[in-house]
Amino acid sequence: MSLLLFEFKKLFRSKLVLYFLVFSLIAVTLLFVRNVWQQERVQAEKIDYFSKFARDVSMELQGNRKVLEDNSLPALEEQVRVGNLLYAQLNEVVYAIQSQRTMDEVKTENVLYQKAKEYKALGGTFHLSDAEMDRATRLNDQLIREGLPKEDLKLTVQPLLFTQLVLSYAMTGFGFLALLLILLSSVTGEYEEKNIRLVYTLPFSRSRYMLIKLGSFLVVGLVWLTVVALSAYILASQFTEALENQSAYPFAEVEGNWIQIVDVIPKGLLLGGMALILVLTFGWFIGYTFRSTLLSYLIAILVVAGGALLVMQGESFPWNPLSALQVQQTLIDQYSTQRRIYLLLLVSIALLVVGTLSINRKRGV
Amino acid sequence: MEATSERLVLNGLTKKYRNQLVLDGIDLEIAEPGILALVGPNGVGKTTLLNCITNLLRPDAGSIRIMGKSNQNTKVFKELAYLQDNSVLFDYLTGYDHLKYIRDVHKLPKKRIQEVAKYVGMESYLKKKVGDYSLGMKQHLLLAISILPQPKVILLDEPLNGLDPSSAILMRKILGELANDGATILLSSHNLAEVDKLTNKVLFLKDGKLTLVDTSEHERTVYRLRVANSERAFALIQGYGEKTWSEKGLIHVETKSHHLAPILALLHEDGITVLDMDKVTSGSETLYEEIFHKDEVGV
Repeated sequence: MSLLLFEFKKLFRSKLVLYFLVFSLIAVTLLFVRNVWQQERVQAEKIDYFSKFARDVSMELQGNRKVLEDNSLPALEEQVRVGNLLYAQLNEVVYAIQSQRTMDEVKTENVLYQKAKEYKALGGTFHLSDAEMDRATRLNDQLIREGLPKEDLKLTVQPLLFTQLVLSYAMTGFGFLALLLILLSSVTGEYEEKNIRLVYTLPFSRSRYMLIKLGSFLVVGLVWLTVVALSAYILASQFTEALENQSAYPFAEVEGNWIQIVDVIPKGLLLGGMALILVLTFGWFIGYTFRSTLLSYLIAILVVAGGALLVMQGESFPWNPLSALQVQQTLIDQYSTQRRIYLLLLVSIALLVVGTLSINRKRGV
Repeated sequence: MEATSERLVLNGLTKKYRNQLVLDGIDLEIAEPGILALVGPNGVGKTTLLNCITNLLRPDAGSIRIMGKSNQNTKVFKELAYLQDNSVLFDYLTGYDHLKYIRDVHKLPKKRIQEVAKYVGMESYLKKKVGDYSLGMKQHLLLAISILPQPKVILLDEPLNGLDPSSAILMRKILGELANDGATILLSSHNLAEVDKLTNKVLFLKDGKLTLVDTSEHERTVYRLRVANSERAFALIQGYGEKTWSEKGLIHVETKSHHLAPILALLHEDGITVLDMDKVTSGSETLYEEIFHKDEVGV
């Protein structure tokens, strides 16, 4: 334990980890300030969103009315009739948003989608697909059931939702990579600056030292995730009036069931934690294998950021642990979280065993 | 059965760097406490030898045993300490952090740090960051790290480098005390004057081979005597030393150290009082000149 504490002390005294934690705290604060700043814009964007539909429907209605002045076309008359109702509904939604009647907003939005589908069936134009409207309707139904207003998940200031948002940014390949690069230098730096020679002349095995080092990495990773999550939650709780039932906020729909935000965070943390273990074990492995900061950085960037980029581009790696590094994305995709957890753990253990065995075979510094 | 008295045993130790043979089948057995100096010019392989002993370098052939155990067994470091150059220290940690780490690794009592810090004279800067240490302070810390676990065998790589005179005196005193307390000390150095002050047992490393020499047997000492009747005294002792001469009122006698007693006895018998006496010794330096033919670098 005292040896682990010493490694921990080395990481913090070298300042890099401390700077990284401070940087993370600043980033969380800036994100929160931005979201607070954007709250009015959220309302304006919603209004803009529905007003655009209203304009499109209104223009189409005007054209159709002109046609009907000279012709008697029952089908078009029916389309205009439904179009008028749709237009009224669109204005109703805009009014509900303006007057901040949040429950009316989601209820009216659902009626609006029904009318829009009806309007489209009669030949009218509405720039949302049926599937998109069905998805929005199901979300609204869930919100109505839970008595919750609709939140913009990217601009939210609600404590749990904001915590989820912050974690979703932190627990990406890029967030992990930043932590990894900082920790990697503590392995390679000891070889490059030759401090490792002090450690190697002490009465414990090199593999034990390596495992202690990995342990300190994992502790730092855990501390980082905890600091990020807690700071996000505390910040949002202090400066926002939290919704009573925010934990039930529907985050994503999987096979007809809604995953609530309260379920997403622990699952995300578990999967993210496993992905973090894999990334740190991988970094530890390449650090001890190559013993060069530059080379290890290049490999880490190539593998972790490269993999994350491919996943962001939509490449699917069902059995590739890299895809699990995009934790939020993985949580809502078709592959089960549990399978990914086992996979991440398996690859981490494999790296651990190979790394430990190979260091014991190597003599010399 | 392993010989329990053995401290350090090297068998056929060989190390090559590319095509250059640095250590050429070295055999060595040290069973006694005391100080041994490893002497040779820069680049001859002194640090390579120490690094091989401590398993920091892989020898190409040969075996190393320390206190009866193979050097590949990390348990040997319970009884073996290695004072290396100061690049092994962590600049962002304090001296105390380093010592606490060593104390925890060896499971030593808490008070041991203060004892050793006081002993090597680094109490005042124990809590300062190593990055702020002078070269001498770093040497003190390295010494403290080495002696903290009270090892039986201590290897020191150029321990006197960068030390001011008072630190060098302290270092010599500590090393002498450790040897008297039963430690076997092997130190590398190319400072022959310092080596002479520390020990008579010198391992000369040349062309990959070690030669153990007792320099006291090769020691040449010049005694300078101030006596009441210098002319009479000079006449009496002429012929006792290998070389005798008078200079500025002092009689100079160059001789081996064990030849001094008869000279003093002779003067005493003749009623000549010795008012003052000092000596200038040169042991390993003379030998070094002979071994390395004055053509080596770094001396």
